[in-house]
Amino acid sequence: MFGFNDDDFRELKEYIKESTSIGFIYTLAELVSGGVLLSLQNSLVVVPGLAIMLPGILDLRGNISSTLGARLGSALHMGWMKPRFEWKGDEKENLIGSIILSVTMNVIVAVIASITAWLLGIEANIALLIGIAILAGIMAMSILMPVALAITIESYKHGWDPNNVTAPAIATIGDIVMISCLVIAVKILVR
Amino acid sequence: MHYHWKQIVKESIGPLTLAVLFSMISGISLDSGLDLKELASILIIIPSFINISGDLSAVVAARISTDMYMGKTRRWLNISGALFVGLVLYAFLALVAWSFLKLTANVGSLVTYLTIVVLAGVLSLGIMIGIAVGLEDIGKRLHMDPSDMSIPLLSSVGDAVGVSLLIFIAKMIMGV
Repeated sequence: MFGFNDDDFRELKEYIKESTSIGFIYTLAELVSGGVLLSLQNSLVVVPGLAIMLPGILDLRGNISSTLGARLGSALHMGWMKPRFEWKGDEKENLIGSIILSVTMNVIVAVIASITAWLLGIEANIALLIGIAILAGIMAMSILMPVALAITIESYKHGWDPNNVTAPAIATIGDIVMISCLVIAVKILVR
Repeated sequence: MHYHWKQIVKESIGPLTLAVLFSMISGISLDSGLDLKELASILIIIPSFINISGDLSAVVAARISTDMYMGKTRRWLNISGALFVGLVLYAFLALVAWSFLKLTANVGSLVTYLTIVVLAGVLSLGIMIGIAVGLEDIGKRLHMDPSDMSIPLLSSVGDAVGVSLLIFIAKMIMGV
């Protein structure tokens, strides 16, 4: 059928076996993030616009920390930084860049979400959304940035390519950390 | 020094803002699902659900690229493999999430839940694979590596397609 030969079928079987076993693991890992997301259920209903903002905030967390990991990985490979924590040189510039991006982008996502909500006729409190986004963003980044740095440095020290390790690891840990920080930020700001 | 924070911020802010704008589609879909009778049963699977279609379509895109370099055309092999794996993973996700919800909260029948997750999952995976295959053709014509173009695009479109289809089908089957 479709011009497949025996080799193709063997490869198909291998592909299905490998993808399914890895898939089971990441499906279970992401279900933990889903479980944490359940604790945000009431807040999503109580705070108008929060649901609109949520996917953007989760995306940002992944994009900012994964690109930080990728840049640090390149810097380590090129010998531009040493595999240890240092507040200087390329390491410092990368961390400052990520902190500024994190704060700026969290404000941008809150403003865009408020405008989107307004266009849909939902009365969102823009100051509250910005407050939640900044507070949750700062809390999450202060956990995720050292984690991204540690994973990159440790994987490099063990002879692994940080590019293969940091992004997938941050993707899984990041959702759980970010959603938990959102829950805390809502608890602090919404009474 | 090779990196400067100003340059990092300047280069990243455009693509990140674009990604945020795209994420509003998922946000609007999620907001429209807040009146669902069984919101919890949808919220719990969202991170895994969008990961499955995103990862599997990225794998199809990567395999198609490799096949192109090796001079092989096995498009249907890659597509049927990904759809089969997707079917198994969505069913697994529905089963684990339903069992967890059964222990902690009120949840409807397993058959309804399984139907929603597998139907929305396979449909969104089908759309994503369609985009991956379409981008392969465009990449070939433009003499570009298809994975350079398709993987970033697939990850941003994937969330929007996944969340929108999941909420739409859940609303259709569960009702508001």
